[in-house]
Order: sequence, then C-alpha cells, then structure tokens
Amino acid sequence: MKLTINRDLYSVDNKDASRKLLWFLRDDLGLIGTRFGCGAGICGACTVLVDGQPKRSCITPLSSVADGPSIRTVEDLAANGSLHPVQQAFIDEQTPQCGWCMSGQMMVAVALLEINPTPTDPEIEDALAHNYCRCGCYSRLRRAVRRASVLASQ
Amino acid sequence: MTNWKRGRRNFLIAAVVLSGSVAAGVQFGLPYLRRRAFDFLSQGGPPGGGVGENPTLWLELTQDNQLYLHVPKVEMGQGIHTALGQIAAEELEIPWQNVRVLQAGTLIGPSDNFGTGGSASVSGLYLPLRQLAANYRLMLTTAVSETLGDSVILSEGIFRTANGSTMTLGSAAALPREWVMPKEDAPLKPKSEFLLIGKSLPRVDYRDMLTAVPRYAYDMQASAGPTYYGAAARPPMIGAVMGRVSADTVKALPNIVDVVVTGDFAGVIAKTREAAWAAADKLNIEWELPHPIAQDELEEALNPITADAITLKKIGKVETILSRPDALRADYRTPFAATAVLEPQSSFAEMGNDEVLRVRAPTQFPNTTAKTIAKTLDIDETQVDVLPTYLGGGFGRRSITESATEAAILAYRSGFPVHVGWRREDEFLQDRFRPPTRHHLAGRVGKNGQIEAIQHLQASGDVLLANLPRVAAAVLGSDFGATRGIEPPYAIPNLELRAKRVPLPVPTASWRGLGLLANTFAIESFVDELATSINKDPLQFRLQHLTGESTKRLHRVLRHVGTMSDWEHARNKGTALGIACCQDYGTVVAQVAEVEIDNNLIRVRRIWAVMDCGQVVNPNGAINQVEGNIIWGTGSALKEAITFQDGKPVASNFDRYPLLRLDEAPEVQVELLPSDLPPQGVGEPAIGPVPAAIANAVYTATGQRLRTLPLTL
Repeated sequence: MKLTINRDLYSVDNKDASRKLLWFLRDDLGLIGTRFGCGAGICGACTVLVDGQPKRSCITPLSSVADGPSIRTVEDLAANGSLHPVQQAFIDEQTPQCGWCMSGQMMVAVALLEINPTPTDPEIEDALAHNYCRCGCYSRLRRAVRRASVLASQ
Repeated sequence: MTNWKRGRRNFLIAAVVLSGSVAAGVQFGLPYLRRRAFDFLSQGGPPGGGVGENPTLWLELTQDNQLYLHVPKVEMGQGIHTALGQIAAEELEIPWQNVRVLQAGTLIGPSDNFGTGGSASVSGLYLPLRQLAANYRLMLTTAVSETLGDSVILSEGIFRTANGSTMTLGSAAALPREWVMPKEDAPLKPKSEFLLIGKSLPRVDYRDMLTAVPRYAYDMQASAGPTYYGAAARPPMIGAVMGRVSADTVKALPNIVDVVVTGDFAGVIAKTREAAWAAADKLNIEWELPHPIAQDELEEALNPITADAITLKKIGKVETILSRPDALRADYRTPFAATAVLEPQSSFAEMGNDEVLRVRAPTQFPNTTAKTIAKTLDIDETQVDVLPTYLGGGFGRRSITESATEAAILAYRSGFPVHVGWRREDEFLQDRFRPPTRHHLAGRVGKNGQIEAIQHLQASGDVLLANLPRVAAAVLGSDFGATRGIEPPYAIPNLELRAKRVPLPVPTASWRGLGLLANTFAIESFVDELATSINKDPLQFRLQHLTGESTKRLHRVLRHVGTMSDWEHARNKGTALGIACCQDYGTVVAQVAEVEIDNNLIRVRRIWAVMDCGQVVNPNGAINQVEGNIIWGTGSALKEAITFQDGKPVASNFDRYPLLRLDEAPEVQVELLPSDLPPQGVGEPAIGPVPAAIANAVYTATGQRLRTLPLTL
C-alpha cells in the first residue's frame, strides 16, 4: 500500500497494515511534529489532517489511510521558510507554554479555518474543545485562532 | 588561546553560592568543550556563531557578536530560558536578536544541584546572573579601552570611542590577553535604564516548538544508524516486587533484539516501539504481590485529629477559645491527583566513542538523574552526561525520571542506542501522585467581628519526605512540601497549626505548588465560612485582618481584584462570585471566580487574578503562568481525582481521568501590580486560591458549602 503524506508518496509493507499512523510518522519517517499523548484518541496531541479533516493518528491504522487519502502533518504548514498564518498567530499571541499539544491544536485550527475562514467564538470553542492543553493556555488558544483567521484573510 | 585565570572560575562559583539558589557550585576540570554539548543538543547541526573561545561557563560571546547563554535550568513551559536570556543580555548590553539560550548538560557548563522547580529559577538567578554579566561587561570594557587606547562606551553590543573607533562585544571577548576578574563587583544597571527586563519579548523557543524541530525527549533518535526501542516490564499493581523473570518466549518474538534482566529491572530492546511494548507486556515474571491498596483504608489513614501530629505553630489560648460551643468547625478533603504531563516521559541513551553514556532526558533534576544512573550502572559519574531536553510539561513529576535509568540500563548493557518511551497507561500506573489531604479547621469570631482563634489540623501523604533518607524524614517530622501554604496570612491572635505526616503505600511526590493548593483550599474556604457566619462581606472580612505592614501587598491585590471583578455588583440569579487569596514564595495573589450553576453543574465562567510577584522580567510570560495555574486549579476544583482499586489507580488513561477542556475553561484576566521588590515566585503561587474562590462562589450561588475536592453539587 501507499501513503500520501505532505504530498510525498511512501510505500508501506502490507504486514504493517494495522500499525498506527502516529508511530509510522514519528519513528519511521522522523516527522516528530505529530505528538504522542494518550494513544487512545482522547487528548488530541497527535491530530493530523486526512483530506482536510482532523484525525487522531494514534488510533488510525495505516491501512485506513492508504492508497488515496491525503495526509497532512504540522511539518507541511511552514513553506519556504515562512510560517503558516496559524503558526504566526500562535507566536503573536505568545500561546504555548510547554508546547507539546500545540501541533494538534494548530492542525485543528488549520482544518477549521480552511472550511470556515471567519469562525465565530462558539465555533472556535467547539473546534478546540477536544484537544487538551495541560499547561492551561486555553485563553490564548482562543485568541490565537481568532488572530489566525484575520492573518489568513490578509 | 585565551588565558583565563583560575580566579575567574572561582568567581563564578562564589557568585552562584552567594545567591543561595544553587547548593553546590560549578563542575569544572572535565576535559570537554562546551561546544560539543551544543553540537549534541542540536542533533549534529552546525553550531551557530564562530568557533571562538568560551571564556565563561554561562556567557559565551562569539566573533559574530552572538551571546550564547548556557543555562542549567530546564524549560518546561515556564519561559525561563527567555527570561534568563533577558537578564543576561540586559547587563551585557547586547541586542536581543543576538541572544541564544542553550541548555547545559550535567558534565559541561554551569551546573545546578538544586534543579528546576519551586518557582525559583528566575527569582533565584536574577541578581547573580545580572552580576555575572555586569562583571563580564566591566572586564570587556577595560580590555577594549586598553586596546583602543581610549575610553569607550558600550551600547547595542558595540564599544565606541569618542573618535569613532568601534569594537563588538564578540571581538572584545576574543582579545588575546590575561583576563583578570574585577576586584569589586561592577555596578548593576539602574532599573530606569532597563531595555529588556520588564519587556514582554516573545519566547526564544516558540519557532522551534511550532515548526517541529526535535527538542523534546520523545523526539530523540540516534545521531547515526538505527534507533532501537526499549520498554520496561510494568508491575501488575503498585508495590509489586519483581521475582523470577523468564525471557525465552519473548526473545523469539519478531523484531526483538535483546532482553535485559538486572536487579529489579526487566526490559526488552526491539526494532520498533510497538514491538518493544508488546514484548515487555509478555515477559513472564513472577511478581510478589503486596496487600492491594484499598481506597477506604487510604481515607481512614488520613485522620487529622490525632495526638501524634507535629505542632508547627502555637500562639495564645486556642483550646480555651475553641472549646466554646459557638466555635465553628469544618472538615475539608482533597483527593489524590495525577500529574498527567501531556508528553509521556521518555529518554534516549547512547554510548559515545569516548565511553561517556549520553542520556537525553526530560528531567527537572538533571544532576540527580545522572547520579541515579551512575549508581544503578555502577559507573563513575563522569561517564554519564545527562542532557535535558525540553519538557512536555513538568509540574514536579519530572523531579524523578525513571525512563532515563531504564534507557541507560538498556543502552549500557546492549551497546545499542535506545529510546524508552512510556505509554499513557504507564504514566497513570507509575505516577507519583499529589497526595490526598484532610483538614480539620476550627475557629471563632469575637464580638468585634475579628477572628479570635483558628486551629488547623492537617493530614497529608508525603510530598518531599518520600525522597529523603528515613533519618532526615524522622528528624523533620512533618513534610515541608505538604505544609506549604498552611499558615494563614491574617492577623489571628490565637493560632494553632498542626500537621500529621501519613506515609501511604502509594508513591506521592511534588505536584504543581505542592501543598499550596490543598492548604489554601481549606483555609480560604474556612475564612469565608467565618465571614458569612457573621454576615460579613468576605472581601471586607479579609481586608480587616490584613492591616499590618507585612500584609500590605496582600491587602493591595485583594482590593485591586475587588475593583477588577466589580465585586460589589450583584450578579444574576444562579451566578455568583467567590474570592480567595494566598501568599507563596514572596508572591501575593488574589482571585475572584464567577460561577454559574447550570442544571446542578458548576460552570466557572471567569476568573480575575491580581498578583504582585516583585519585579517582572517578562510580563506576558508571567501572565501565561498565572493563566496556566488558574486552569490547573480549575481542573483540580472540578474534575481531577485518582482513586484506587485492586492495588492500582482506576484510571489508566484520560477516559477515566479527564482533564479540563477548553470549552470548560474560564476566561482568565490577569493583572500584575508594579512592585519594587526583586523577582519573586511566578510558576506556582497562583494555583493556591483557585479551588477556594470557586467553592466560595458556589456557596454564594447555592447556599451549599462544598468542602471536598473535586467540587460536586
């Protein structure tokens, strides 16, 4: 089977069909920006985009995203040295503390803004409600997504 | 070759010891260049800046006029690498964009036997680091002045003479000369001339964090060749003792490279992480099982009303006053809580060609981690270099980093570079929990409306004593981590504080703020009860007990938070305000919580916080810490509790231990008051008042006094 990750094509042995996408990304490809938090699809640290939709890579078998779907990780956000508006907004709002959850938070924000470029506060709240931040940067996360929406439209 | 006199290094040691922030000075004489540490830290990437000499352990100026600040303190979200950079650059007069902050390992560079914790990094290093930089500035100024034959002025990283000659700081540092320490400390910059201290500069590490640069322990891989994955066998219940291990069946599994059994450790090395985990679970081990921990026995053990508690303070005639029938009595409880750092712990160990075992570990106490590894492997401490990574959360959990020892054992025994990553289930099973507490409070308000007496009897599981030798624990009697925040800040003429140390059959240790959260919950709820018992406004009641000179700062933050939250203004039905405050590590903080009761559910809508933490180095960073503490405190107030069944925690993942989510989180507004004091603690104090402020608001909204965390109606 073949996986499409950040527009690159990777061949995967069929015996790895049930392996979880998270560990293939991190340990095999060195795409360590996708983080491990719980392994149970709860905390959201491992969120990637599959055809634009947020997906928990820690519970996603490789076979379920093989041969077709486009997988996007945080490594794909910055291009040619310039940051994605979501990354820039997270810096501008001085959002992170430890930073471990932030890739997942940003991927959720990217998915939200691609479907809905000018989300309302409740829509932001709904989108981010399923990603933990143990350091407690929630007030800043709300502001960062609002700012990303403005930056992206400029 | 720059010739540095020994005196220079002696100075460094003196500066560090005088500060009181670091127990035992700097390690030197080890034949390693700091540059190599940086190379390893940056995963073999090209070192930024020149190859210039490194004249000091902390401050390294390169020919391209960059300042590399080497710090032993670890970054786990507090923003201290940024704040320490600001402090050093301020006195060295170097532009902020020329500053890089590097993590020091245990073998090379500045050392730190205290570790990172206790809200002490910036407050402890503020003056010593400034002085160190100021003295270096003076030495460089003298050197440039002699070289150029004229007096010079330093600004923006460049020395200038009156006739227009210039020299950069980096060039000055490379001047070939005998460097002599100034006989007296150089004067520090006056506060009015600060360019960097007090500015909300963006953190130095945000770009790396947000663009997937490998900086965390879970990101570490072998510098060349394949990385192997290790996993340790986990006990079936807390306190189980490992017996005979039979590894034969596991060795035959696919992808398994080796099985290591030594002492009370059994672990596997595999070609993939998943194979390592599966094999470790399959190891055939005879466990000697303890009497399984039962929740009710733990509860029972925590009886605070006991004769063998340690008296911490006794003033006046507490018993006589509190024996009157109108004395108020109340009992409070807090449960076990998990640290639940979001990055499960992991470490990477690799034996170098120089026979030094390098361990990349997320540890708040790198030197302790290195010592533990050396002791476990029975090798010299100079053969272990612990290189701390960024920590995906610390909060006290990473004062002990078991995965570092596990990775070290596996790498040392096998010769392979090994990464050991814990699963979330491992984290819950082998957490070092916040201990449960029980509090019996008694008090009486006199006819004049002033508190006459308070007695606080507290019982807690261990926080810090569990890690001290038994003799030390016996001498200390009570656990100074568990009693943190136990003393009410108010003027109370008759006061008794007693603490009972309750060793529990569950590992308990540091959790953000240690005992501060539990003790403040009990005291600040009880003071509210005293106020409402005489129909007195809880804010006014607090203020009237804070009239002394020593409590002026607390008085000020309370008044301020009252204004900020519009305290006097009544809220709609079902919504109410509650107030609480504390002082901790030289910092005073007051908070008001706005709570809404929605179908018997407690929703915390907003929290206002006002804090005086002395001079603030990076206000936005400090505010971020306060916000984080408030979210932690809210989670503790509403959700977090660990219970035990069959000898282990009921929760093995977040499904049974949910954290506070964004849609449950209050909007937080923080104000830091200007202060003439030097920096005080920032990383923890604001966690103290949160549960009490919420519980007090719930009382106002419902008339129900909730005295047990987590709060439920």
